[in-house]
Amino acid sequence: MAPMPSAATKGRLRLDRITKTFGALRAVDGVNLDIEAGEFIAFLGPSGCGKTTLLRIIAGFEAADSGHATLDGRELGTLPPNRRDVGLVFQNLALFPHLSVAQNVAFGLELRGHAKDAIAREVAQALALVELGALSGRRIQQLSGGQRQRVALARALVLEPAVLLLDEPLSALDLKLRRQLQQELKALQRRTRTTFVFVTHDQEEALSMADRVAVFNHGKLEQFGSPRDLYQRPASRFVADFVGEANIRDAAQLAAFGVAPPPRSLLVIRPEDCAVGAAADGLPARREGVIETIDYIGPHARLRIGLDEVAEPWVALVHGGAVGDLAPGARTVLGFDPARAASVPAA
Amino acid sequence: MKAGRLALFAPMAVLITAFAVAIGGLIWGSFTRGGVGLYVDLLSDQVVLRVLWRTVWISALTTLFCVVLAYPLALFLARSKHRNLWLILVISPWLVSIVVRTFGWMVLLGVRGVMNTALRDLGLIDAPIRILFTPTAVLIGLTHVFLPFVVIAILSSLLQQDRRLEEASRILGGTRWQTFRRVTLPLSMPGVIGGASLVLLMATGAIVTPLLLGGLRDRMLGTQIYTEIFQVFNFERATAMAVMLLVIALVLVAPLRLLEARIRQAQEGV
Amino acid sequence: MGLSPATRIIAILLLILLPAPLIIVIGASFSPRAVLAFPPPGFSWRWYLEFLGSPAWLAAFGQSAIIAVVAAVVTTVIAVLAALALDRAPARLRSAAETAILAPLLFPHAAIGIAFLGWLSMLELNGGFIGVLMAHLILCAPFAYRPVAVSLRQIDRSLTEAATILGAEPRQALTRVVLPLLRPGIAASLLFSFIISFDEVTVTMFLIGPEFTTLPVSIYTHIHDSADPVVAAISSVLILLTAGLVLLIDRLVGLRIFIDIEEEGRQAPA
Repeated sequence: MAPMPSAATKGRLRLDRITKTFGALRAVDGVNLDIEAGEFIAFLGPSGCGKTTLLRIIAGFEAADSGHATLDGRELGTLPPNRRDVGLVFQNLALFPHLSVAQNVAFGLELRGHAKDAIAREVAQALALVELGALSGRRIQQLSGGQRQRVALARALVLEPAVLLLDEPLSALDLKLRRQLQQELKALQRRTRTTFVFVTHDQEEALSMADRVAVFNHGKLEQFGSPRDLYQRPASRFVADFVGEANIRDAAQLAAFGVAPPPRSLLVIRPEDCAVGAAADGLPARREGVIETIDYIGPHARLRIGLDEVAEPWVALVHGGAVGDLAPGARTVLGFDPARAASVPAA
Repeated sequence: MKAGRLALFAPMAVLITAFAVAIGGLIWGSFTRGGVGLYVDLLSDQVVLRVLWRTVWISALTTLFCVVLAYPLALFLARSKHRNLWLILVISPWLVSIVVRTFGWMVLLGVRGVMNTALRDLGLIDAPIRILFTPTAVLIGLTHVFLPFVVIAILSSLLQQDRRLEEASRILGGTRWQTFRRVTLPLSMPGVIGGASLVLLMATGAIVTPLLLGGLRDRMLGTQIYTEIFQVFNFERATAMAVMLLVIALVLVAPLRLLEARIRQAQEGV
Repeated sequence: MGLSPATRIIAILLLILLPAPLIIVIGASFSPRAVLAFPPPGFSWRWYLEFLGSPAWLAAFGQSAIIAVVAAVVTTVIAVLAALALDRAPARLRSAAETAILAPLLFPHAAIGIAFLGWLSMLELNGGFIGVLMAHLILCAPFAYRPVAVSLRQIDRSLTEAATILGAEPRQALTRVVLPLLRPGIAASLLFSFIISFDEVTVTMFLIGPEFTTLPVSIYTHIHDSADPVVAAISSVLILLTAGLVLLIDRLVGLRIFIDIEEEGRQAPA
């Protein structure tokens, strides 16, 4: 692999009104996306939202019904998957069981007709990049889950693709291993400066790894922005609800607080912006309610407070110490500052 | 896309067509050359009727014996730790030609064969038992020849069963026999019926074993067809009998296959 | 689960009885006199020498071997092509095609024999190498197809996609990923076809002629005319060769393949 350039030179991916229908189902519905070279992008959404279909369209395994996809100015259109300069790490990894680690990584290089010693060198570099140098002769069956992940990554990256697609690659791993690999993936992306598109349904994973996150729901792109933007300025109710936790309230429910949202909108109040008991003094919006449950999570306490029988209880996240004598069943005051709340359309 | 696939399938398609032509030609030929009248003649011929009946009952009994004997053996193999070793014993005869196996039985069952000699030496009999060239010998030979098929069919069915189903039955209070009768046996029925239909089919169409072990006096349909061609040189009659054989096979085997499919479907629903 | 003593006894008896005729044949082959006896009254190689010194027997052996090898290779190639063609075909088409491929398994051999006789006679190919070969190709096709189709079905879709995204053209994905993973199926296919062809007698006996015959058919004719120990010697050679084959199968793909093929084969449309 050539020495890394200082900035990414390729990997600019543009999706223009991509649509794909399966029978009656709109899997991908008019998606527009502009991804810069060298970005780490996450496609986030619940199962069935179309993120994997979109990934496969970019890879070339599905054809879009309408719309364009261009990579570095080149129309991807009808190009077959083997000629797109796109890499893919499959959900089940798809490592070749009849080949060793080194042979798996060398696969694409051999197809390109590189010289034997050049291949050996590049394979060694790729394995070193993912820290698997010592295992090059092993058979796939002998590796652990984390090790296999790395082989799959090395196999794709050794070809220096413009874009690397990853289809929920970490979903089969246990929590600790997943966290570790998340770090390694992020570092890898930084070093190789390849555009990464990472599909996941785990919003924590997406928010912690990606430069920008595309949130999908029922085939539609709900929002595309940095993790901070998604959290602090959600574009829709779905995003506000899916990304992190939120108290989403309409005009009727807010009337009791003496607060009104903008016309035809809902207010999104994050749990950590809610104060309880004495700490709520001085806040513009306050009401009394009954504590339903208190969960202690590390240094924090998560309280569910019911304000009236009908509506959903509010969730407040406060510092453990602020709970004091409060216990489930007690009455207390819940307060928040409307200026800190975001608003989303009421549709 | 499909055009390329068509090319790949072409050689196989040739084989399939050739087979269809051969069988079709057989059926067609029997009607154009001999005509329906030939069938009427055959079906009123006492000899032919006896051959037909003999074919049916020997095939049916062979199937019964095979199933009854194969099941314990399959059970034994299913639970055995040395399964591979036993499998070699079961599979090896299967791989040797029918002629050789039948010949072995001729040596065993002949008047001066191994069995008779052994029984005489042991003083159990005075005169040799005449088994060779009787329907009994044919039964024994056919059962021996086809037993491995049924064993494998039942064995594969047994091995597919989830062990935990048996355990569930036991923990619910079932004895070994009850568990077998209510869980193991019903679940293995597709395999049993599949194996049975296979044997029934093969037995009806057998030639070498019935001929060598049964002689020319008590023929089965396969043997009859063969002698019609190579001794009597009556191709028309042979063709018509072959068609009758097809019909008998269909009538005997089709219901079994349907039954097997139905039971399989019912069980797969879970 | 423990087995009742009755089951055990039957199983063990059968395990002894199944290879018994073969053991007896091997034993009788060493008899110094022209009489089939077990245990043999002496020890002599004479019948083996007679077999190895007879041009007629050796010709029959050679012809059987050649046909079996050619049939195995050709049928396996045809089967692989067919399996690849059907691999991603729409379900109903695939179902119909597989039923057609497996069709010969549903017909009694005696009927198939006479059907082929008529068909080959029409083509004026009867009684020779080509005719027998063609018949064997058709008979072996179902046995060659099943292992290959099963093996192919077990290959994960995503492996071909992985090869493609790494730059492989469809042909390269086939040769570098699919075919290597298909090796166990192909090996099983070759072995099954070889065995079926080499041992085939019931159909082949209709198709031989003055210039061409196969070993099993020759054995049959010889037994029919005069059952002398040379047949025992030839049979012993065949038995030993088969035993070698079984061990080879065990080493290459494992004996389980017989069981797996049976189960998969019956669950697939047939």
